[in-house]
Amino acid sequence: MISFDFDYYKANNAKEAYNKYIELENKNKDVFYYNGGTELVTYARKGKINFDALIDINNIPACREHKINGEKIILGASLNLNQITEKNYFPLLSKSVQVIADHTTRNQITLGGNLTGRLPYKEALLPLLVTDAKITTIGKDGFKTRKITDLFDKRLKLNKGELLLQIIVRKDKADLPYYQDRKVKQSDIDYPIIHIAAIKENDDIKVAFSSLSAFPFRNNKIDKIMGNKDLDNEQKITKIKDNLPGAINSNQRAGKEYKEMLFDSTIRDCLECLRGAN
Amino acid sequence: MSFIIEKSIKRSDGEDKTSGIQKYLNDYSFTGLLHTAIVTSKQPHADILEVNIKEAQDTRGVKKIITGKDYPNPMGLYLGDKPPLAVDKVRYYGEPIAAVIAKNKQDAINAANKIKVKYKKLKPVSSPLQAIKDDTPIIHKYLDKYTHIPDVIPKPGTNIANHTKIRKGNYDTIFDNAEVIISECFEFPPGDHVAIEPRAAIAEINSNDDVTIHSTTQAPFVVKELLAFNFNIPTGKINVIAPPIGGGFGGKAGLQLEGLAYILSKAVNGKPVKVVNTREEDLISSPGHIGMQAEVKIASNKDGKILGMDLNYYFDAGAYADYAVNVSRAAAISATGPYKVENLKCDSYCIYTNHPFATAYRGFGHIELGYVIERSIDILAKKIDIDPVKLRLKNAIQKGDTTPTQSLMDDNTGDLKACIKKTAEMIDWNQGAYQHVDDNTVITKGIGLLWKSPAMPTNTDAGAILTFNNDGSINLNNAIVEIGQGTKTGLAQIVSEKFKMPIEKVHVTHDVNTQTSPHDWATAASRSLMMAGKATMKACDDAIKQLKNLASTVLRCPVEDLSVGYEKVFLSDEPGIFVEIKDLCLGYVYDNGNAIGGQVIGRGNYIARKLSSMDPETGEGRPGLEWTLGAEAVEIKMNLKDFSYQITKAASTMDVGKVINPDLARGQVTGAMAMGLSFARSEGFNFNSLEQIENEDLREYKILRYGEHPDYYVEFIETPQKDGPYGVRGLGEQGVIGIPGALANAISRAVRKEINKLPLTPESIYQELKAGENND
Repeated sequence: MISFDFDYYKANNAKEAYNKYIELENKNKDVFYYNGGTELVTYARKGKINFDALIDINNIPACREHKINGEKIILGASLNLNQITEKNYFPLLSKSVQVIADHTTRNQITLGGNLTGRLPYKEALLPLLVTDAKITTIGKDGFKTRKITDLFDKRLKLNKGELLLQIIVRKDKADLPYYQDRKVKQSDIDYPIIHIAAIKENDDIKVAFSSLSAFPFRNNKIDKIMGNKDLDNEQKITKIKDNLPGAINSNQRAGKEYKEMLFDSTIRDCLECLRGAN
Repeated sequence: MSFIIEKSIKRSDGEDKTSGIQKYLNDYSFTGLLHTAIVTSKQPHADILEVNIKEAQDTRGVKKIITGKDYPNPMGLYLGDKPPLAVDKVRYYGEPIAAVIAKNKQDAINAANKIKVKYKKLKPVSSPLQAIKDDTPIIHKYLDKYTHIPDVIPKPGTNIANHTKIRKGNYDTIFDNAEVIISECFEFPPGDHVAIEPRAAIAEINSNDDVTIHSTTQAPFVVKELLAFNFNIPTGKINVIAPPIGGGFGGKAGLQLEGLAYILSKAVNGKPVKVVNTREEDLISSPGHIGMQAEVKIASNKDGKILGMDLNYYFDAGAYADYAVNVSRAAAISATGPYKVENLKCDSYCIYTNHPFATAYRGFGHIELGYVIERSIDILAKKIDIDPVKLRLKNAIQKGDTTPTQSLMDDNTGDLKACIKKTAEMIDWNQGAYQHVDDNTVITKGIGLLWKSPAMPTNTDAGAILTFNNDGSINLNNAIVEIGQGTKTGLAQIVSEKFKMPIEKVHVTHDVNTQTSPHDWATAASRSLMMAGKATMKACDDAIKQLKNLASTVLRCPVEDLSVGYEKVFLSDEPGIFVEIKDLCLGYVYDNGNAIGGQVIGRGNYIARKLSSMDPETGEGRPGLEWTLGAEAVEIKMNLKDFSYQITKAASTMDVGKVINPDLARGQVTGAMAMGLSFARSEGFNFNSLEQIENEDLREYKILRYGEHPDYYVEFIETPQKDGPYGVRGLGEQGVIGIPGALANAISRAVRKEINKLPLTPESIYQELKAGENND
C-alpha cells in the first residue's frame, strides 16, 4: 500500500504536462511524471520515494506514436515494452527490451520510463546509443530534438521538468547487423549482470553496455578498439578493460571477478558473431 | 475392488482457488476492525537505547502504539526465549520492535514511519560455527532462566539452544582401521518458505474475556494452547479459527502472529485487530527455514559397505529457538539418511546466530541432513570408484535394520531398493550419468535417497466427528487445516469408501474451529492423511454400527445380517430389503409418527502408538512413528563456459504404502520436488558485511519460476503401512528431501569438483572451482 496522499493529474498534451509540472514545482511540490508506474508504485509502497503529485502522461498523443515515417522510426515514450517487441520496427531494440522483467510487467513498463527511471540498468538505452538515436523533449525552450549520445552521461541529462516525448531512430541504422546478449545470475527474470548491444556499420562496431559498472555507457574509444583490425580478440578485451569509463563493480547480481569472466566471454562472442556480418 | 480410493478425485477446493473465488484471511474486513503496522529492526544485533513514539502518537488515526516494554515476557514453542516485540535488544535484522494500531492500514503505516529507534550496535554472530567459538558474543544472556520442555537441552552461557546426541555401536573405534574414510564439510544459508499467502491474524476479546483468533495457521490447537500458557488464559476461553491457507510448508505451524495480535487487541480493550505481514515481513520478520553447517565423516570398506558415520550438524537457528530446536533433534533421529549404519556418532546442535529465526520447513531437518548425506555418499562412491546407484543399493536400509535411535525397522518398512531401481530407470541412469554434448556443454545426472518419519510429540493425536444431513449425506469434521495439500479430499474419499457413498455426498468442514472441531495436534509432519484418516475410519465404523443397530429394529433382523452401502442399510444376502440412510440418520419415523433412535453421530480418534522419548546420552528411543522411503534423481544441462545450467528432468519414487488419490499424490510430490530444486538452486538470504539482509523481497529473493521447471516423473511403490488407513503412510513433505543432494551431485559431476555449498548459482560454482585451483 502507498500510505501517503498525493495529487494526480492527467495531461492531454505535452504542453499541458510541462506547464503543470512547472506550476507544481513553483509551489514547492515534489512532482513526477507518471508513465507506466512500475518504479513509482513499487518504490512508493516501500517508502523509498515520496511525492506530492503525479502527472500522468499516457494520454499525450506524441507519447503514444508508434510508426515508420519515411526514413525514421518514431517511438513514443509511453509505449510499453511489449508493444515495441510486437511491432518490431527495430529488431535490436526488441531483443534488448523483451528480456526486461516478465511479460506481465512489460505490459506496464514504458520505453520512456526505462530510459529516465531511477534503476541504473536502462536496457532499452543500449540500442539507442549504438544507432545514434535522437530524442524529442519539451522543456522551457519548447520542443527540442537532440542526439541521445549528447544527452546521456551516466543518466539522461534533462532539465527540471523537461519531458521525454519520443525517440527517433534512423531506419537504415535499425536494419544493420547486430549482436545482443544478456547475462543473468540465474533466473531470466532478473536484472542483468551484463547486457551488451552492438551494431556493425561497414567495418565499424558500435557497442554499448549496461550493468557492467554503475551506469550504462557507449564509448568512442571502445568502439575503435572493437573495430581495430590490428588487434586480436584477447588484445581487444585487455584494451577495452583499460578504457572502461567506469570500474567493473561487484553487486548483488555478481562479484567483480565472475563479471569480468562473463565480460571476456561476451566480448569474444560479440566479435565472433559480427566478424563476418554485413 | 475399491469403491473410490486409488481414484483421482478432483480436489474439493481446487476450482475456488484457481479461479480466485477462495477468500483468504486478509480478504476479510468488517466494521470496527483495527489495522496495524510494525516497525522492524534495521540492525542484526544491537541494544535498543530508545524507541521514540511521540511524533507517531500524534499521527492521524492512531489508536495505540505498543513497544516491547509493554509485554516483556519471553515466550516460545519449546523454549521460551522471544518477547512478541523486542525488549532492550534486537537480535536479527527484521525483528519487530513496535506496533501501531490505527483506524486503517494507511494511518498505521504513516505512524510507524515516524517511530524512531536509537541503537547501540553490537557485533553480530554470522554463522553457527562462529557462534560456538569462545570469544563470540552470547546472544541470549538469560538462557538459564528460559522455560523449556525436557526434550530440549540448552547450554546456558553459550549460543547452543539444543544439543541432541546419538551414540550407537562402536562409534569410537570404527574409524581406526577402516579401509576408506571420507571427511567433508557442507553449508547453506537460512531462507524462507515463500508461501504465496503472507501470514495474518485477527484477534478480539469480548466482554466475557472470550478470545477469538482467526489465523493463517497450520496448528490451531497449538496456537490455542500456547496462548493459554503464555498469557495465562483458561484454554477454553480461547477459540482459534483456521480458514484454508495459501501454503504453509511448516512456516505457519507454531505460534506466529497470533500472540502479537492478542496483545494488540488487549491494548485497545479487546477490539478486533488485524495483523498481516507484508511480503517483506513474511520473508524476514516472521521465521523462515533453517541454515546449516555440517561435518561428515564416513568409514567404509573398499567394497563400499558403510561401517560407520561421525556427523556434526550445526544448525543456524537464527535469533530465536522456535521450531529450530526440534528441527535439529529431528535431524539427529534420522541423521544417517536411509542407510544401514551400525556404528554412529552424531551431535546435532541448534545454535543461535543473529540471523532471522528458523521454524519448521518442509522436510523438517531431513532436507538438511538429506543434502549433506547424499552429497557424502556420492563422494564416497567416487573415492572407491563404484557407481553411486550401486553404492546406494548396497547400503539401503531394510526391514530388520535399526535406525540411528536403535529402533527397529519393522514389517511396515518400505522397499527402498525398489524405489532406487525405479528412479534409476526413470532417469535412464544406465545410459550414463555424464554425457558430453559439445565443447562447452554437458548433460549430467545425480541421485539422492530420502527417508523421513514425523518428529512430533509422543502423544500426537487426531479426531473425527461424523454427522448426517436429512438427505443422508455426511459431514466430516476433522481439525486438519486445508493448506493446499488436498488432505480434505483424501479424507472424503475414505468416508466415501467406507459407506460406498458418492463422494458428492461427503461434506468436509472447511474452516477449523477449535471450539467445535475435535482435538488435533497440527497439520504438519505429513501425518494428516494417516492419523486423521485413522480417526475418520473409526468414526465411520462407529456411525455404521449405530445405523445398523437402528436398521435392525426397523427391518426386524439381526444386526450381523446387515450391510451399509449405496446410501442404504440392507440385508447382506437379500439386498432388496433395505432402509435408506436418509430415513435413519436423524432418527427413524414410523408411519404413525412414532420416532426412534435419534441422530447418528460417529466418533473416531487416534493417538500415536508406542512412541518414546530419546535417551539424552545415546539417543536410544522410538521417537519416529512411520518411515517413508524413496529415491530421487535430477538431470541437468550445463554450459561449462559460465556454469549456467538448466534442470531438465527430476524423478521421484517413494514407497507410500497406498495411494488414495493418484493425481493429488503426484501433485504433492511434484510440488515438493520443485521446492527442493528451488531451495538448492537459488534460495537463501544474502547477508552483507554487517549481517543485514540484501534480498528481502521477491525481486531479489529468487525462487524457481514457471519456465524453469524440468519434466517431472513420479512413481510410487506400495508396501502397506499396516497401521495406516488402507495402508497409507505420509507423503506430503518427503519429495523435497532427496532433491538438493541429487542436484548438487549432478552439478559436481558436471564440473568434476565437489560442490558442497548451497545455493548452486553459476557464480558460486565458479567461485568453488577457483578456490579449488588456488588450493591445488
